[in-house]
Amino acid sequence: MYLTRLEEKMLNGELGEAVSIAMKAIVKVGEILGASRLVEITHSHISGISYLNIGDPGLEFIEYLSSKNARVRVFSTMNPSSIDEDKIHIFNISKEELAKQKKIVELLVKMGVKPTLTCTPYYIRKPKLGEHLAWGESSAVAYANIVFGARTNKEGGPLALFAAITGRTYYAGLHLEENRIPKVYIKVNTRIDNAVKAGLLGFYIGEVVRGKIPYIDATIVYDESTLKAFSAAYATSTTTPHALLKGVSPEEKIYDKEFIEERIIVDEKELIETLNKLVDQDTNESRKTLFIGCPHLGISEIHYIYDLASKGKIGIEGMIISTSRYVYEKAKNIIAKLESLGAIVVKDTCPIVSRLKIKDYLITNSVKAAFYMKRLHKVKVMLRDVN
Amino acid sequence: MSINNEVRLTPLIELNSNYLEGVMLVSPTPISPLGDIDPRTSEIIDPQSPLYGVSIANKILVAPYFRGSTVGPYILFSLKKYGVAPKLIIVEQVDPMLVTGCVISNIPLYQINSIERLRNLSNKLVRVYRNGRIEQV
Repeated sequence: MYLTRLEEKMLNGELGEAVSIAMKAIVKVGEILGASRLVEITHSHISGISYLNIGDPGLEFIEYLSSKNARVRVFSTMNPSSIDEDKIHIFNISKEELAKQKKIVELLVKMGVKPTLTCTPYYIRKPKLGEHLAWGESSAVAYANIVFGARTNKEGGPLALFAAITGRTYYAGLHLEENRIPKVYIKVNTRIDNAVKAGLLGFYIGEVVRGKIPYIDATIVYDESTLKAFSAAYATSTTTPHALLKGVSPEEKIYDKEFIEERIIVDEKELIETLNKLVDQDTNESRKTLFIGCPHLGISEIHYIYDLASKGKIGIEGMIISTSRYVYEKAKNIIAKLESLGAIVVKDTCPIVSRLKIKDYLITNSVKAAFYMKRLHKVKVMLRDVN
Repeated sequence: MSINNEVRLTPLIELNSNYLEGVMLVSPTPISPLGDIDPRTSEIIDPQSPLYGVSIANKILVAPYFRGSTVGPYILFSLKKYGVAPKLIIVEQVDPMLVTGCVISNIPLYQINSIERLRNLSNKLVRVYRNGRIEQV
């Protein structure tokens, strides 16, 4: 692999041991994935923050890097943790687990990572067209590629941390224009007008494209909610979280029918089949918990929920809403009103990466949440739009 | 000892020794480390997997590809730390997360064009050489 003189120095340990450890790993991963060089990044987003997911080995890994004086070289943000420290009582977490969770965040903050604790880093720093990133949260990776035309692979948590420490990642996969060209043309024959449908479409497409990049010709009511739901669900089922959405993706111009190898038609039938595969049939709603906020809600989405609730169009008593501390701070007043109507608004975390107390039946508008809650927390799930 | 001359693996992360031996476990479906594998016991915990309840500790693990959460590399790292990692992983397709997981955990990684070619070695004791040659012991 070609390395610049600075990168050679990083590798050799002239910029410290942590940089050298990180550089060696990035070079090794890059060589295996066929990278001829590295690429400088502007923003690293680090996943694997929840102690409940990474455990003691994960904590020790971060402690080890910290003991070697690791520091980030670029703007770096953190994925959600397993707790909202202002609402500890609604989580099943022991004192020891809580202490270890705090330790993970503390160590990363010491390295210079911003304690954003959200899966929506694009609200904090909006990616630019063509910019190279190293992001480790699949829904955000898909959103950055599809909606902003920024370039990032779906990086594992440790690699995103190495990328933060070196300011670089390997130049392979979705960083290269040739790997961003759509090879599958998808025509969607049903109108996609809410987050659930957008999620089902994303999940279905991710399963059928088998890692290829699709160009998607669909009538979608594009707003933050449908785009986030599509991206999150698509990234759940595909290995290559990039697609071109007609009328949305800034890279639309690189679509060329010459490169299309396969055409797929999606009707309502495919979405219904996908729905039936994801949800449970038991409809005993007495033990239900309503959940919105996967991915974390943005300011306008919070306003929308409040608008519906205040007009009595939806009931939000006991509903769990998750968002980032960034949005929580900006939408403080409206969140207080939502809470006075009975909603439980949590920041810094979500039901997937925490042990939030929920009843045994989860109703959500998020296909991604439905998929993971069922697998990781063994709860029954149902999909329903907010309306 | 029967030698299967046709099958050859491509080394991506080579063995440290000349060869290793282990029981081969073939998962016909992709594996998502977070959610499919218990990081402490190494058991497959996905009820839909044909390998449900089976431990991957010290096995030669074969799967078409890996997928799932970006926490995946930490799960492989945990398996290694708890002493229950597979001895070697063989896949058809590599992705950044699997490679990262194997690099930080020192798990050898090999590639094959079709795992179908390894089906007849499933649950058998096999020997894999550093250069990718594989034979039944």
